[in-house]
Amino acid sequence: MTETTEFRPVPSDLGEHELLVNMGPSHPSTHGVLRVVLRVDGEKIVGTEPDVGFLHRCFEKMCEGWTYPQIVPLTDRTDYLSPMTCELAYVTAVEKMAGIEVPERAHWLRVIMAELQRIASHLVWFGSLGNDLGATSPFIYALREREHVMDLFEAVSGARLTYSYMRLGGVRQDLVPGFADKARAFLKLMPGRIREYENLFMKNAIFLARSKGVGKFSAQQAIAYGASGPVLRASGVDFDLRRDEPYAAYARFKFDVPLGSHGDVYDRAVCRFGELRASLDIIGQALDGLPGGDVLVKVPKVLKLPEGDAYSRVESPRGEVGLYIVSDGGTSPYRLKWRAPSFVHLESLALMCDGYMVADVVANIAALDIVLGEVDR
Amino acid sequence: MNATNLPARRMVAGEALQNLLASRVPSARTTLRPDGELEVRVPATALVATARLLAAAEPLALNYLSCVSGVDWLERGRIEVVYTLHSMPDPAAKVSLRVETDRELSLAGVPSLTSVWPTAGYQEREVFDLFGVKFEGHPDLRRILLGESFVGHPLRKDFLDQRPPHRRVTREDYQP
Repeated sequence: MTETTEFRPVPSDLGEHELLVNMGPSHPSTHGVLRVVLRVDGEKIVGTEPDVGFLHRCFEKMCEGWTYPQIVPLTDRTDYLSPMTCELAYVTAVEKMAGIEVPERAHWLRVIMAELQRIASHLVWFGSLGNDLGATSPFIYALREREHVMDLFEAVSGARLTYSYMRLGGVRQDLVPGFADKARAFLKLMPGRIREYENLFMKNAIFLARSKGVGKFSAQQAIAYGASGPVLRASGVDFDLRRDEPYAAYARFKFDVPLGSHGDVYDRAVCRFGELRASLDIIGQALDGLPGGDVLVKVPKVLKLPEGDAYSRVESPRGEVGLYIVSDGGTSPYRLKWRAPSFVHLESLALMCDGYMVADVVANIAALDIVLGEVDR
Repeated sequence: MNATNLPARRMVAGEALQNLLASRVPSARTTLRPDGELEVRVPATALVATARLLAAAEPLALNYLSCVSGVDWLERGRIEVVYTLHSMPDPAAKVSLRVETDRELSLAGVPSLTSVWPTAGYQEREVFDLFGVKFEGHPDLRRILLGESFVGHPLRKDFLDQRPPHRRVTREDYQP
């Protein structure tokens, strides 16, 4: 347990014209504390090595000491840009193992919240992508719209960032008066705003030059490297867990799954813009067809899961969030593994960056949409 | 992809894979769960061959490695590594490939599956970091989440944090 500062020696195979450059851990475009060690030859990248772990909080070890209901607030802190989907991933996994039947209305409310969260998360992605590529205005625009979602979440959960809205057995409380109207107003507002973003940004010559053909990832590579979510679909793989392995109430909804074909930064952006529209569509359907009834069933205060293990996964804005839970029959998990899409995506960063320019690293990190809270857990 | 009959299709795919393994890997012990997930337990010596077989299975290849997880079974003195596999883009096949190794730090090791699924690279590093399981044949086996000077593997059940506790800051610390 020494507290030494570690200096890594210069690699012996460093070429005569090559240079090691540390990008981060406090670089504005690394979205948190990520260090990327770049080996550059002039402006060209010949090696990329992400260095993670600066935010490690022993999430999985903590879970082993906490009871199942206590872990819900903890999951908010993994992917802090989409806490609702993280909670959904956790409660879905535990309910499946415990055999808890959730009321239909709670399932629909979960879908509404998860999709609102997807919109909020993709807005932050859009803003930071613009910011990283040198356009400051998208961030201001995106956060203006995200504020509406924050207000809606604050109304139902009382919090603006860490909601703990999903509970084992349902959701914390029913919609508050005025929620549906505000949500419908938001649905009405957004399509015009999305068009505005696209006109501002997606047709911008600078953005096209920075994104088209950058960070290419073929369909085979995407599957082999475990890509999921928009990164996988941008490579042309038609797969969405909401549609293909439905959880909550997603089987009741019809929605588009936007696909790309080249797997570059531009296609990932197109996919995410398509997903914004699909999410609006789902929320509209859910608000129209929301069934009545309870939103929370009684779950024993001391919840014990039957002995065994299970892997379950949901589609977060970033990709496949998977939970592998091992239970020994006790009140807290024997082992809980959190499969974070950002962590898996970071491994393929080297593949996307090598051979490109230094400035493209920034575009690649932004287009992968990583959240360091989730990478380091 | 038709998601409505996923459990039934998963069962069919699971049975097919079970038959395949029974004929090709005699040392594998398989269990088909009611939800169609196939549990495969293999000895470490047969791991890579089984993985290659599954990754190239017909018609549903298990080409997508979702999750690599370690589990420390302290009482049995074993550490289990669980690979959760899916087929892509049709999610009908689901397999959890399990291999066990000794808990003893100098003996804990299993063959790496990075040559079959490249995405295993980071996740196996994570298991090495937190459990101390060495993956033979891994191209870059280093700690990933913890610092290089960290001693111990925290997700082991008998891990004790031996760092001195933080000294409490008292009023005296602020005296000029």
